[in-house]
Amino acid sequence: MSSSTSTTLPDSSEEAHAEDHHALPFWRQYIFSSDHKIIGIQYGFTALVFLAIGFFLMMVMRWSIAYPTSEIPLVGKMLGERWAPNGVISPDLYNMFGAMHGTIMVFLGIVPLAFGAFGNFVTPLQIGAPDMAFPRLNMASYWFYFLGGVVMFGSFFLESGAAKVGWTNYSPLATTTDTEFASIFWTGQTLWLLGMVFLISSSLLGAVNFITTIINLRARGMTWMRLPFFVWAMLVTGFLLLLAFPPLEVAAIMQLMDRLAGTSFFLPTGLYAGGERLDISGGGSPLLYQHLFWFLGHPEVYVLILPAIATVAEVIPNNTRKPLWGYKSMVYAVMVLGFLSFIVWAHHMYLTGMGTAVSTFFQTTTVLISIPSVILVTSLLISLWGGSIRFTVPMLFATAFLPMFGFGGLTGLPLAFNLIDLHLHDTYYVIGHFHYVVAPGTIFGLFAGIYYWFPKMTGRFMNNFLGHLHFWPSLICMNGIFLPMMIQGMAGFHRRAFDGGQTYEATTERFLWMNELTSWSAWLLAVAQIPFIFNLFWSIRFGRKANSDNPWDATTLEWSTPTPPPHGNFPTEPVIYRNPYEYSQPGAAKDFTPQWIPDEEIEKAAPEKAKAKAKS
Amino acid sequence: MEIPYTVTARPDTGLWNAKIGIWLFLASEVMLFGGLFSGYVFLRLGVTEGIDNPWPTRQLIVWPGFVNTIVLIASSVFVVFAWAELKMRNFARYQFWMRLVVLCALVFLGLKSYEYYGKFTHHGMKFEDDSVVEGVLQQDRIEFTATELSLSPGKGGLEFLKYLKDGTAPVFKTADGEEVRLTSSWIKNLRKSSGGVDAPAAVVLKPAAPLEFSFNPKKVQAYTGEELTFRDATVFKGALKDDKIYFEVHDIDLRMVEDDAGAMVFSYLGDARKDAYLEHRDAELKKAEEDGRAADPYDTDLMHIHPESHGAAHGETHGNETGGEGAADGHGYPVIEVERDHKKFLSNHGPAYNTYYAIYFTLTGLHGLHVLIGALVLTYFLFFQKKLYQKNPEHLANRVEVGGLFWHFVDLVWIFLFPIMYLM
Amino acid sequence: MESTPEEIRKHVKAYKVVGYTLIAFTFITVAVAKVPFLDVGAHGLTGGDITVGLLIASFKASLVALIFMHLNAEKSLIYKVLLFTVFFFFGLMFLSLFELWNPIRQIFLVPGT
Repeated sequence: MSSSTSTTLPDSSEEAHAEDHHALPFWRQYIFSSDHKIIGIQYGFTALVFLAIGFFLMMVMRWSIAYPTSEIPLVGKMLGERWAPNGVISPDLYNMFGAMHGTIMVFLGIVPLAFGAFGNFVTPLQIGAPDMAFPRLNMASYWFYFLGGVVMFGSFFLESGAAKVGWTNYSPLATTTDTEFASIFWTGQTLWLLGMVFLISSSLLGAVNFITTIINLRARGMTWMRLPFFVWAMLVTGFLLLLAFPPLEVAAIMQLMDRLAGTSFFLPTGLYAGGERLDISGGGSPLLYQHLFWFLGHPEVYVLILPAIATVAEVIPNNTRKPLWGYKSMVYAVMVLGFLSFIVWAHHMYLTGMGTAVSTFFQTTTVLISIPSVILVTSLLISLWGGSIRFTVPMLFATAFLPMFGFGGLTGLPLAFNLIDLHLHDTYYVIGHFHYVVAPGTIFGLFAGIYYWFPKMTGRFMNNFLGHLHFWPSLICMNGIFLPMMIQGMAGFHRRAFDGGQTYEATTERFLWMNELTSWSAWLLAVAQIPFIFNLFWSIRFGRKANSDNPWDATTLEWSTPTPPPHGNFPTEPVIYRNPYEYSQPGAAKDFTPQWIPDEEIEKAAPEKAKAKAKS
Repeated sequence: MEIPYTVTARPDTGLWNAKIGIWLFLASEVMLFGGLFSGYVFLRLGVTEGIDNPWPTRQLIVWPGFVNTIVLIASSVFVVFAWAELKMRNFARYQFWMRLVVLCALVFLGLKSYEYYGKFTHHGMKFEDDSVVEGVLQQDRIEFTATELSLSPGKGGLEFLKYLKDGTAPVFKTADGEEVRLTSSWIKNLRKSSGGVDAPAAVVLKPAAPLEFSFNPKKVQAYTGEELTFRDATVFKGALKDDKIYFEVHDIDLRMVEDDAGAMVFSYLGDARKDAYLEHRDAELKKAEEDGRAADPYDTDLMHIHPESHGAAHGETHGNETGGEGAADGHGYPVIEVERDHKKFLSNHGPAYNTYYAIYFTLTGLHGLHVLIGALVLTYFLFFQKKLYQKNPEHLANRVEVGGLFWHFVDLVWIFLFPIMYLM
Repeated sequence: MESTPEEIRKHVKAYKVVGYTLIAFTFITVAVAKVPFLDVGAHGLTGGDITVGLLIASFKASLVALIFMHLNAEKSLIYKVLLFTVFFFFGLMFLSLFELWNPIRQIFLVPGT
């Protein structure tokens, strides 16, 4: 433990603390644990597994796009005759994998990794809390998530296969698909909805827990404006989940009713499917589903991106050795961003013909929301200026994040405009745009987080060389995948064509070769993840040892705890004395001034003395 | 390790954890029910005249909803009393009030079930020309006598057993005169011997005695006058005895029909009832106009067709013998036998009947679920928290406050639900 | 909330009064919709029923929220959370209805199509 031991405070929790160390049985300590750090790691590993599954689905799809008529190597026979006759991917399988790629990546991969894993592990440490406010609720939200994941993944093995009408699951198609089976309940479409209900419940419980923790469990001296930016982002993300998810839950319940109870919430009067008039009352509205879905859908984008931005905002000051530029404006920007994200949703629906007045409104708010986004990115960019940058692996990912996310954001502007969107909607342009935001954007941010906080979780660094081997190919491949998509999209390639547009060869001919480029980039990207996976497991046992509890010389509170942090996190109650990113303060002996060290100790601290203390 | 501020409030926020937690949770509940309420408004305002079913108004009996409102309000008062007694450290009286709360919850759920039951046992049917009758469905079945079975061994084929009139397993004879009782193992053997799933030829069996089927037509894939095809590809040959829909008519709704007098429903009810109905309806409309009331042609009073005893009081005679093909066992209401081709849509007054009932059942069902969960939590506080009270009474008071906040919220939702579902 | 027994006793009286008020208004809301000479208009969304019904419901709901749920004296933080929630709820409700009001369609729509 570092120098904070000198601040002795009345600590009533000492005894309780000792009691807790009586070993809990294995399953209570590591499986049904209520400790936020264990839960965070559980979230992290489950989410990484799902990311890998989502990635695999995408690789299969990319084969179908690049070589629609040839047999897919390696996995062709494993997919089964029904879905891939003679190893050639069927359009149905493509649709299924497409829908599930989106669902798994968004709801089972990135959100749990960003919010569940990092949020859980880091937030209480950064605010100086012994745990989350409701530890058992925290456990419940992990297991709800796990259950949702099992339901979603299990649906692949049903007779009907998993959901296959796109990750948005639009009605009426979603309602009328898979109704020919003996039991409508045991179909992919129904289980998708059921899985969503579980995932939503998980997120809601998580959000309640995070917000309460941040509001009420901040350590002494941790005022609002001393919160690390990461915590701010978690707070806003929590509110997004809390208030945006329930309407989707409503939509899921309504669609479940449509499928199972024969209601017509989203089915218009006189609907025909498969040449037959459906035996329904009608009177519903497909548009209602889209409203409810996108009311979540858009805030969800910020749920995906804010934790990543915030992770980058932690990594950048640490590696530039100077304070975060414009901390306050970033905090206000993230709040405005959160607020505005609730009233932009219908820009996903310009093509529905919902009307010009409503389109104009949402176009305006959508353009408005780019202001806080630009404030965030610009502040991070300016933070680099004049710093003596250490290009550690997390910093590599963080610096790559900025232009990649910037590109993703800027390509979104044309989509905000009603008229241009009519051309670009449902093309590869849209795919390219949002994948720039979430793939080289969010996922790079999360990689930065993994490399950055790994020493706190395990006491060891991840291997530097393997980190470079992971980063550079990933960066190149990411652009190899998504840059061609922007061009194809502008040329009018439709995003849901299983053959990558070969049917329309007369018009798509000029850019068809890009399909192969993209696909090969995608498969190479998979190869580029091998060093990472190896590194992750290898470093737990054999990585270079971190020489102290604060190996990055960071200033935020999570680095003051023992490594790995024990149950209850802080041996003594932490007290916070200053702002989060006090790097290179004039007059200080060292180039970082942690939040938890009292002023009088800073002045005294000679370099040798501090080192000796850190070692003890 | 102990989480701070579980019982006492944090000085700068003035709140303890669970209180923040419950308010956040209620905020998400506002969005949950808000989503449903906005769905209600969206669907109701989105009704296109002449295409969609008109939005039904006042379809529910008011008194159970009214009583339930009072019950929930009372329980809200009781729960706050219970909390106050706990604050005054009066455990026995806390238990008294809390018992009343749980009792109220039970009454609420009981009444709700009664209402649901009533809805599920009433039906509505739309004819092909969009005229609608409401009442009680008496029979919606296919009666079929089968004399020959052609069994597709590839796909299984025992689904039909469920739909036989008498439940005993029938005996069949093969072409060679061998007697068989159909079991899944017999079919499995057949599948093996005849070449697996792709077995081309169906096996023809003759039942020892003709089989009587009786079931809802939704269960089968298709049927004609001579043939019955199940979903598992077993085909029966025989004769269709009856596939008419028997419906006891209470109300008639002609809003979607252009030509009232030529509505399909009257081809079943007969001219006498048609004239009586139209006359009665027009008289009511006129009366409403004279009274200066807003004319409300959709009021159930106008749509109602009068049973025998009432019919006499109105000075009209529309007996069954003149009233079309009606049977006489409809409690005085006419029972019509409808050709299946003339039916457009048939359902009980459950969620499938129209979007109004869909949203009604979803909203009240979700609300009922909240009542149930709230009642369970409060029951737990009532019976299993005495130890906590002795150790730290304030902690229990906090818990009851949190549970109470949830309970009040459930009440609050109902306060909006009642007028928009029952009165508007 | 103050939690001295005297204070609470005072509150209990208020709860009783509020309870009776709520029940009284339940009678009123049914009467307004059902009793002919009190009926304020056609049923459905066009008449006065909806205005009166929702006004009464809102009044009752605010009584529950303010008195029973102690929102009359709550911490500012909770007000902030609820303020945002209510705002977003109205956003969801009215922005999705926005499409039903389309001035441009009204101008250009050919009558009878």
